[in-house]
Parts: sequence; C-alpha cells; structure tokens
Amino acid sequence: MLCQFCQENQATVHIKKTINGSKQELILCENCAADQGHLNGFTDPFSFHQFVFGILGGENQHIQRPTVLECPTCHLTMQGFKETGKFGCQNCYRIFESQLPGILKNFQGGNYTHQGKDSNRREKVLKHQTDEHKNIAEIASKTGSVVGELARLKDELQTCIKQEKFEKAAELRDVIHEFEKRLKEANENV
Amino acid sequence: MSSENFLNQIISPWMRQEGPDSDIVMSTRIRFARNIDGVPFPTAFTKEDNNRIIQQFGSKFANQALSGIGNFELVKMDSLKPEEKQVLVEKHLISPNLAYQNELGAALISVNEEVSIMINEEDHLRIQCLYPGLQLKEALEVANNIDNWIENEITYAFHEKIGYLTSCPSNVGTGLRASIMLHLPGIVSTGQAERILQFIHKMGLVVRGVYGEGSQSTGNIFQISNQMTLGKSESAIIEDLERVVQQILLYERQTREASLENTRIQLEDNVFRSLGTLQNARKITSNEAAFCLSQVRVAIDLGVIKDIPRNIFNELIVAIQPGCLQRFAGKTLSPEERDVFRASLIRGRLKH
Repeated sequence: MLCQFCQENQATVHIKKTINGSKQELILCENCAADQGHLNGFTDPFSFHQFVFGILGGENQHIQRPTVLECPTCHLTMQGFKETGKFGCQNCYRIFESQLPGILKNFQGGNYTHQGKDSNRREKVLKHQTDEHKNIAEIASKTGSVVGELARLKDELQTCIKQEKFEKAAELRDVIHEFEKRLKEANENV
Repeated sequence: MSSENFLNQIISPWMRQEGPDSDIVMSTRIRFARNIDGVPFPTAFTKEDNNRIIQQFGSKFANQALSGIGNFELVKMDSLKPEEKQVLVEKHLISPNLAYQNELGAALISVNEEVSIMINEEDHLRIQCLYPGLQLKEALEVANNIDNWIENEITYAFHEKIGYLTSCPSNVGTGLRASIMLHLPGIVSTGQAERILQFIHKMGLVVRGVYGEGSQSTGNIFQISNQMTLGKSESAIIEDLERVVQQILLYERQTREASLENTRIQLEDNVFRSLGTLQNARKITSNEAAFCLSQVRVAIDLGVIKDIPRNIFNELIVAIQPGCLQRFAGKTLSPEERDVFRASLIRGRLKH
C-alpha cells in the first residue's frame, strides 16, 4: 500500500487517533510520519502540543500547523520581525503580545514594566481600551482590529499550550468561542 | 578663509563652552524616541505618511521659539546636498541613518544647535539635546520640556504596560538614550581600557566610538550610554549612568596624575612631538591628527601646555572630518587632498 500523504513510498506506519470523539486513521510512509511528528509520539513536546491544540483549538478536528500570524495594520509577520528586529507599527505590539516577553528579554534584560514618565497617558490608554471592548458590534465594524484581536487570542492560546498552562488555555478557548459567536452575530445584524 | 573664522562658523556654540568635568567629558546627549499614535512607524510607512508628518510637524514647530532654546528650523533631507548632510552628521545633529538611508525624513534643529529633532528616522521623532561636559540632569530636564511641548500638540503611541512604543524594542518604554562622550587617554595608556569597557558592558551600558553604533574609537574618545530603556524611570537611568561615569572620571584622573608624576619627561616628550606634528605637518590623516590632538589635549588639562585653549581639541576633532574639511576647502576633496587641507586647517588654528 502507498503512503496516503506522499502517494510515492510504501506505507509502513499505521496511526489511529481519536480527537474530540471523531476517529481518524492514517497510513503513512516512515518519512511522512516523521515529518508530521507522529513517530515521536508523546515524547516530543511539539507533537504533544499539537495534540492538545487539536482539542482546545476547537473547530479543527485534524491536527494542523498554526497559521502565520500577521499584523493587520502593517502586514508584518514574526519572520519579518526576526529579519529586521523592528516592528512596523504600534499595533504589532498587541498582535505579537504573546512573543513580547522573549523579545523584551533579549532587548531589555527582562524588565517588562514601564516605570518612566507617562503624562497620565496610562489611564487614558486603559480607558480607551475598555471603551473599545464594551461594544463588540462596534469593534466588529473595524474589521482589521477584530481579526487582529482574534489572531492575537489564538496565538496566546497556542503559547499557553506550549507552556502547558492548560487551565488558562481552556479559558482562552472559551473567550475565542464567545468572540467568534458575537462577531458572527454582529456581522449578521449589520 | 582663516582657520579661526571657518571654525567660528562651523562649530556649534555649545562645543566652545566648558561644562562640568570638561577635562574628560566632551559632551552629554539625551535622546527620546517617540512615535505618533495611529501612524505606521517609518519602517513600514508610505512616502505619503512621511510627507504628511513632516508637513504637519514643520507647520506646528518650525520657526517657533521655545523658552531657553530659541527658534527651530526645519531641514528636509531631500533638499540637502550629500556634503551638507555629512557636516550635520559630523556635528552630531543628525544620525548617519537619517542622512544616508534614503531621501525621506527631516530634522528640526534649534538655531543654537543644542537641540535637534529628527523626523522619520527609525521612529517618527527622535528628540535630542546636546550639552558640553557632564550635565545629565540638565539635559534630561530640557529634553523633557521639549517632549512635553510636542506632546501638547501630538498624541504619542503609548502602551499601558510598556510605555512609549518604538520601532525597535531596544528603545521601548522611556525611549531614553543618555550618552556621554569621554576622552580617556589615561585609561587607554594603562592597557586596561579593554577590561574596563567589558565590565561597563556587563553593567548594562554600551560603549561605542565617536559616531555611534559600530564606529571605531579614534583619539581615545569613547561614547558610553544606557542599553536598557524599559523597567527603570528616566531619572534612575541617568543616575546609574552617572555613577559609572564618575568612577571612570576618578580613575582617568588618577592615571593622568600618575603619568605626570612618574614619567614626566616621557610624557612631555610625547606631547611636544605631537604638538610639533600638528604645528608643522603638511599632510596628516584623520587618525594621526586625532592621536596627536588627544595627546595635546591631556597636556593642556595637566598644565604641561599652557598657551593653547582647551576647546581647540573639541573643535578640531569635529572639523577634521571629511564633510567639514570639504566645507573648509569649498569643494569636493580626494582622500589625499583632504590630508593636505586637514594639516593646513590645524596649522592655522594652532598659530597665534
């Protein structure tokens, strides 16, 4: 029998999985199985996290690689940031928030809280954000920021899974579901 | 034009003044990085964004006076010749990045040349104050005033947790970079400079040459600045820097005094040979000139040479750079021609 994935090599690996109650069977060659992280089983943290992501990630029944996170304002990706070391706009700091601790550790030696002047701006920014989140329909009209926020939440979820903070991940999953539900309603009402 | 008249024109007024610890500290620089709320950073913006920011900013602040500073003039990069930009870089009024990366950007420069606000370099605004000698608190206060003056008119990009947002995360938070330019011939002569500078680096400070990142140290001149901009207040940042600088000053003075006491004849011999070179050379490279000027400067500080004013060193270190020399010559010069004009400029300035 040929490998289901590459359709070239002889299949030698048989994988059975049950994810969220749905059964899945894969018949693969050794190379494809290794590429997809099946051979390492649960000893490889990456595939274990993929497994958990499959469950907590919600809508996807099959294991998938995470999509590339991109800033909706300036279209910067993490890859782009790694090449130049520079963000393209202030929104990047929110979109890539889950990566910030690592980035700031490199650049700032692990101090993450601004202690300097703020001219009362901290309060203003916080108030601005609460106002912004008050009305989901209002946010929905600004498609870019919603898509970005959703992408950010999903990215954060993935980070939680990697760090094995499963309770927090479950909470985030609920937030994402709620977010998607209300976003859908808001779109239908427009 | 005589050397002296030329230097009067080209050297920023503050460079001729003496500040605290001027025997070692050449200058103090405070810089704030700021961005305008809601506009992509210059790393990702369009040419239209660039033009709009310069236009808006220029119309609000150019030809305006700020008390204690005086008037500002707007200089657009696309309206300057390459050699004019080079002179601004050599005087530390703009960065090499702003001058050479593209035709975008501008600078608002105060008439007294103590304040320069670069527009659309890596961030929308880079507010910079320059002072003679060691004057961190004074420079920070002035930079703060300018920052507040601008913030009255413009909303900055700000994050509730990590402060002022900048294109590179190395500037985020306070956006503050405080730099001290030091002349350290004593420490260099002990052969311990490398070790000391490595230790300073471990203290979270950065050591660089005269013209910023990646530049070589010439004439025993070093620039020391804070690395971290987040997690400490502005005043804590400059206090930490000041503490290290004070220790360096102490050590530099001790080594200078020791060499005067223990090896006076050797020191005098070196110094007067260097002075002879500067007064007589018909051509001189910038490295040799910087070396000789450094020796003569220490001798002035130690009272070994008495009839030459101290600020000659600060002036000539800037004036012997290619951009300024070409201004002096009034034409573009080949490297060989520069060496000839450099020698002539220095001879003229030392002749009294």
